[in-house]
Amino acid sequence: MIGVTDADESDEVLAFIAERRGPVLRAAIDDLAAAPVDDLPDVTHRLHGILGSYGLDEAHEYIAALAELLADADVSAAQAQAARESTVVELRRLADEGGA
Amino acid sequence: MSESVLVIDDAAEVRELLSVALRGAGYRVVEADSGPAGIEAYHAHQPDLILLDIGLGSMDGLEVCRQLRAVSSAPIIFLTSRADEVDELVGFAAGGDDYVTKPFSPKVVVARVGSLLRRQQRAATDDRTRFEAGPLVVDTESRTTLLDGSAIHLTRTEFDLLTAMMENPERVCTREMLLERVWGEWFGDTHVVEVHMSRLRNKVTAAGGPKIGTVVRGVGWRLGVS
Repeated sequence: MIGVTDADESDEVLAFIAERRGPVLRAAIDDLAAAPVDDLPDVTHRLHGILGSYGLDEAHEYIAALAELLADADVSAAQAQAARESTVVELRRLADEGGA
Repeated sequence: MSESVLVIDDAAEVRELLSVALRGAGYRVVEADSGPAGIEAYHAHQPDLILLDIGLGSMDGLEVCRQLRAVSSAPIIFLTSRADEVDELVGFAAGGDDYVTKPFSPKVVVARVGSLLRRQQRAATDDRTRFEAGPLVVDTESRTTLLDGSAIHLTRTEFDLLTAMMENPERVCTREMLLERVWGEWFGDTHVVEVHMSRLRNKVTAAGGPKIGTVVRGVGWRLGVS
C-alpha cells in the first residue's frame, strides 16, 4: 500500500511533498549507498516507510523488493551487496528522471 | 489553545511530513528524534496525543510507550512498518491506543488523531461519571477503575471499553457500537475490538476480578457482571 494519493491529501501537504520528494529520494539513495551491508535490513526498513509516504511509488517498490531479498536468511553478503548496488542504480535513474 | 501532538520518530522526513499535515489541521506539533528525547519532550510539553514510531534506535517505541504509560494517559498512536499481527498485539500490549502502518497517508493519520482526541473529549464531558457493577467501579471523571476498592491500571482504550459496557451492564454492545464509541472513526481491522476486549478481560481476572466481556455470539459483548 502506498501512503499518498493526489485525491486524498490537502493542498498544503501535496505542495510540501512535491517540494521535498526530490531531496527525499536523493537522501534515500545516499543512505542506501553508504550503509554497511549488515545495516541494510534496517536501512531498507526505514526507507520503505519514508519513500511510500512521500508517494515515491516506483522507488518504494525497488526498496520493498530489496527488503524482501534481505529478509531471506539464505542470502549471502555478496548477494546483498549486489542487490543493493543494482537498487541504487535504479533509484539514481529515477532521481535523474525527476522523481519516481 | 489548540491541541498538541508529540511526534516521536527518528526519520526527519516522517516527522516533517506529519508536522505539515497536523499543523494544517490546526494542531500544535512537537517533534522528537529518539525515545529519550520523546520522553523529555513529553514532560516539557504535556501533549494531548503522541505519535510514536516503533522502530526507534537505542530505546524502541514499545519501551518508550511503557515509560510514557507509567506517567500519562494521553492517547498513543504507533507508527510501524512491521504490520504483521504479532507486532500489532505487542504494540497494544505496551499500552498503545491505535496504530498506523508505514507508508502512511498523512490524511489518515490526521483523521486518527482527531478521532482519538474526540474520544477523549467525549469521555471528559459525559454527565454521569461513576458506574458500578459487582466489585467493579469506574469513574470517568478521574478515569480510575476499582476492583473491590483497589485500583486497576487500564489503558485508555481498555477503560473506554469497560465504561461502555458498565454504563448498562445488561445491554449487548455490538462491534459497531464499540468501534464508534471507543475509536470514533476506525479505518483498520475491526477485530481490534477482540484484541482490546481480551486484554481488558485478562487484566481484570489477573487482578482477581470476574470474567467480563461475555460474548453474545453473532451480536457482540455484554459486561457479564451485575
